[in-house]
Amino acid sequence: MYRFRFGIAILIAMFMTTNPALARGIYQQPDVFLQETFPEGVPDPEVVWLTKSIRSAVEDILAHKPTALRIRYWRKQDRTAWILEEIGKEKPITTGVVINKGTLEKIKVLVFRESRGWEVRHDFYTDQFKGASLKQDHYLSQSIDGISGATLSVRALQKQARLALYLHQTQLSTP
Amino acid sequence: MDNVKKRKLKSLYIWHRYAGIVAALLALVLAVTGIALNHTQRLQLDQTFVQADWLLNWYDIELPEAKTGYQLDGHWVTQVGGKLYLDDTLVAEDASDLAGALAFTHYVAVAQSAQIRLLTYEGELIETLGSMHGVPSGIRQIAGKANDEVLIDTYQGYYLTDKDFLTWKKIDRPVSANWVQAQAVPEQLRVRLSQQTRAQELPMERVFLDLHSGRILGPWGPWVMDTAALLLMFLAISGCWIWMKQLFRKKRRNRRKSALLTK
Repeated sequence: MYRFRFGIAILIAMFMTTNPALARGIYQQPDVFLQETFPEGVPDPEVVWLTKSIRSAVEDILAHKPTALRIRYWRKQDRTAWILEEIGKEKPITTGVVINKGTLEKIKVLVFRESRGWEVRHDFYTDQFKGASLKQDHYLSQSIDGISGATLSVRALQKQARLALYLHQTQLSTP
Repeated sequence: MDNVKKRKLKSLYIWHRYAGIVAALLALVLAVTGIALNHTQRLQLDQTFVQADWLLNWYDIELPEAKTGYQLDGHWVTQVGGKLYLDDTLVAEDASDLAGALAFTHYVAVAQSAQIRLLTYEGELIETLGSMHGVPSGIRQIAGKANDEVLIDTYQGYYLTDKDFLTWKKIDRPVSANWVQAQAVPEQLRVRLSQQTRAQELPMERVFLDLHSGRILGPWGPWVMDTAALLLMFLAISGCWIWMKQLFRKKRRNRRKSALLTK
């Protein structure tokens, strides 16, 4: 009987960890992410307009045209928070990125809508981005290990990290 | 070979031939559509839409009506089916219910039940604002105020935002507000948008998939394609059978010949 129960428990655990329908979803509400990032009070949002020069760099990072003409962010001194959306394979992945003085402090998958590649939400993957900065060629200063079977989600997250770092750079000079 | 056997073989030949003729057309359809579907992305079948009226009629795709429209300084924001247009430019394909639109100096704000889209006058998307940006859901009406503020009426109450839609504040019911009212869309634009929307409803990929499965012929279509598959199976078996029969006959004839020669 004990063996039977144990077997059932293993099967349920396998189903829970492999069923894509359960992997999809909201992992953290964006407003909660912002409250967590700015516990002393979320600042009013600001926007970056994708002017011609910024737009061409953004296109270069994303490898496609940006879907909007402005991107909003939240800033307190030299620390900025970005909530970005990028399509992995078919659907957008919503990610929160925090940049502090030009280095990546935190990246977190907030909403995952794809049926595959959800492993990118785990800390073992996102922790690799911590401390990354942007090189001259708009690539990350440190290499990020991929996850087999989640190539497109991995790529999307790297693009979001690079984009947030780049946009942070453009806004840092703004008082 | 006796006459009975000959007749049997002859009849198998005839059946093989007829089955081949019937299956050939269907096999051709299966092959062509199969190749096309294997290269959907390269052929852009999912992005090419059927324009032919007879095919759209075959699929019962009706001419959608322009639901509501809002006129802004000579521009029209119109919802047709689930699509949103700024004049003739398609700006969104998944538009929820249009609740109003406001014109600003450089852009247009289009309010839908669950989000607000900011667009340039050329139809380029500036930003889509949703719950993530503090936009309350269930938007019913939108109104502009003299100081460039925007008033929103939602099922959750009234909200005030700045012209950049950055900050949101819940307020009490306003004493007066100039809510934007929907207007009748001009006939020419209405017809144009209806036709344009209808011509973007049916992707070629759908037609190829239905041709491949037979569903284009209705509920009996898959059975037609199943019959074609069965005919192809019959052709393969009968073809092998006929070939083997001929092979054995040839071998037997050769054996007889060599026996006669040795005598």
